[in-house]
Amino acid sequence: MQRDTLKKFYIVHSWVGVITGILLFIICFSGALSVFGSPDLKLWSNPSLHTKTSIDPAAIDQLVERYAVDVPEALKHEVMVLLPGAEAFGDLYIWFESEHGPEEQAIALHFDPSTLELIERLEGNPEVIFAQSRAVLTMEQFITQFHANLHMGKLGLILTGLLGLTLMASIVTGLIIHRKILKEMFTFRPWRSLRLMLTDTHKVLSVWGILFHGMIGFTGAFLGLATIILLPAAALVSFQGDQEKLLETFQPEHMPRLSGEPANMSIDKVLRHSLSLGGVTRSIIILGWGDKNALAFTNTVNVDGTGEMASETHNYQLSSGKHLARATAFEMVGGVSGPVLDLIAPLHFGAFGGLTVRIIWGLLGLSTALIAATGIMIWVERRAYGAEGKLSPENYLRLNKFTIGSCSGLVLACASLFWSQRLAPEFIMALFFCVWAMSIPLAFSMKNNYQSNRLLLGLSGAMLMCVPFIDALTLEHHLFNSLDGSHNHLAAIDATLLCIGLALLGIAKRLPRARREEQHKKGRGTKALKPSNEEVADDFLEDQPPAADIVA
Amino acid sequence: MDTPLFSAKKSRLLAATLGVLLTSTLVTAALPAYLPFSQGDTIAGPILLFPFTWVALFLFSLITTSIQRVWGGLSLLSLSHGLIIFLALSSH
Amino acid sequence: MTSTIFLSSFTGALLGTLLLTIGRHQWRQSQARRWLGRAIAIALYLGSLLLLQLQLDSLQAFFTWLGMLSLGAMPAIFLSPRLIATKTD
Repeated sequence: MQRDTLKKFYIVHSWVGVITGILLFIICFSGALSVFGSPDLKLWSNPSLHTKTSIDPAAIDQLVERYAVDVPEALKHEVMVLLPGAEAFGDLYIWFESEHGPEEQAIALHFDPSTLELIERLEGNPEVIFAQSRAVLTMEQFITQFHANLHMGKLGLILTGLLGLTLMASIVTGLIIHRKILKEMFTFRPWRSLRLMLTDTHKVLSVWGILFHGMIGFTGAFLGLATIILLPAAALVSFQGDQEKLLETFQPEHMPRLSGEPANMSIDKVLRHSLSLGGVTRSIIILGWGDKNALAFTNTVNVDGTGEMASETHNYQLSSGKHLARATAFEMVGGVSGPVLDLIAPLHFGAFGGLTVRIIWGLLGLSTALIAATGIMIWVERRAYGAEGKLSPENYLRLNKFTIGSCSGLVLACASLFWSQRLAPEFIMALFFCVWAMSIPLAFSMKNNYQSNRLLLGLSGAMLMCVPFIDALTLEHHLFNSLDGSHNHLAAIDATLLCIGLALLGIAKRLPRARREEQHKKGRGTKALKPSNEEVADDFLEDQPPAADIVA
Repeated sequence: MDTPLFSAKKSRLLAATLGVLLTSTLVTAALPAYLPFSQGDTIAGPILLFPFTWVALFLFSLITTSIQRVWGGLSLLSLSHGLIIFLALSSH
Repeated sequence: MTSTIFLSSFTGALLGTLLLTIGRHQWRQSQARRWLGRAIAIALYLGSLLLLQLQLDSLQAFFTWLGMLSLGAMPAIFLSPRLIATKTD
């Protein structure tokens, strides 16, 4: 490839990285946390889930029948039961909805999962009551929604989708510019200079994790842009823009042909069969309520690594409880695209192999976040202390301060979520953004970036270490009274937070307090005047492993 | 004196952001009109390819030396696929 | 997945990458040793996959293995300067 073209790819890679880097860190870090959203953080956030509750099909059947009596017929077009449990929807919800359209109405009922007592009843437009039901978010709901759309609705979805695209572009340009990729995969020089250490870290994390980062970029772009761009585009020519018709054509759930004959609704038989299949039954959708031909569709997921990787829909005749069919979410698309679409969600969320896959996915997500952060630091380092910068070093170091405040500040804000959940659950969102916002001026006020990083990470560690003790003061069941093996999951989460807190404190303690003087002086001494194209190429090539290739 | 690596920076940025997004969306929407696959692959295939379409056009718009060629390429793709969409919708 | 299987699979990926790194830096002069190192590394990687298949279905095991290779490799590279003879400049 021509030298000029290579330089262009390098400049594109570095500018895309520096423009999107902080946002990419935010999405990836919150994503790494969200991997543990269900069931771990959901269980931790909801005291109603601390005591294991089993699903009683007969009790749920009676509950739906009882409340359906008072619901107008128009609102029984679709009856949805969202089942309780840490791997499902937390609490029990029953929704009665009318036909889709501008006048759509719904009734949403929220029940305690253990006592089945009614907690809340909401009535009105489905979108409005969905928003109302989420007025007070648990920390798990907050962080997963923050990752998905930054709590900015459709604009946030577009942003996260576009970030997936830019991540893919960064991967492609990164592959093109690193000609000696095999050498660079095995090169780590932590003691020569700060810039080389950052560059080698960036390359090692990028290359070894390339399949994961590429998958996250692709699936993230797809999930973010699905409803905004992709679904409308897919429906435009084939269905004249009718997205509802497109979904009805390819999704397993379909309205039955009603007979007009009334019949008993055997929800308990359907639920019993679905639970016996293994996996986790998350919901039941009932179409044609009260009719002999009514159909029930259960949604099940296999979370322990056995069975189908994608979620499945099982189709039942509701009057008899007879199992009619099963299909994965996109099986009806068929061809090559169906299986690929089926894999997008499980691969992105790491929800296909139990806790160990979640740990792998969480750690790899952190590595994606670190790539973004090290990329920005390299960019600043080359300009503040190298030959590339046209402005004074102080200007570039301000970007570093903002990066530390935003990124390490986000870590602190996420740690504060655990405190807010226990001590002030109505103010989770407000406290999160307050802590995060305050981290940025804090970073600017500190003597140097190293000290602000140490402080923010140290505070995060200290906060996480205190969480088990806060639990001991505020909860009935906690780490210190679960050592007999009861409430294992909750105790394990608290113990993990304690260990992560300790690790963060250890990292903060080991971080340097200031930049090493000899590097600083060396950088200043070699700041010669060169044309910028040459500087870019020479500087870039200097960081390539030499032919002799000695580690450190 | 060295010629700059990137010519017409503002125009190129516009092409790489709005131009590429619009073009890749139009291409994705129009592909089902002429792809020769099964119904599922014809409709779902283009949306699965969208991220790759976007990346390819994004890099094309930034790396291509001539800005005229960039806008020419994006315009040709947008107009041709816009026409395909129009003809497909008119025929229904 | 049991923690034994997880840790064993992770260790296999880590040791495999460590061997490849050592081969690249320390065994430049000995092609035989390098190839032996590569063969053992591949065996460790495959062993890592087989262990996961004890617990997961094939497709899940495959994707988990790909993630495990990355996760095992990164610490191996970061630890390597401490394990391989260094030269200061």
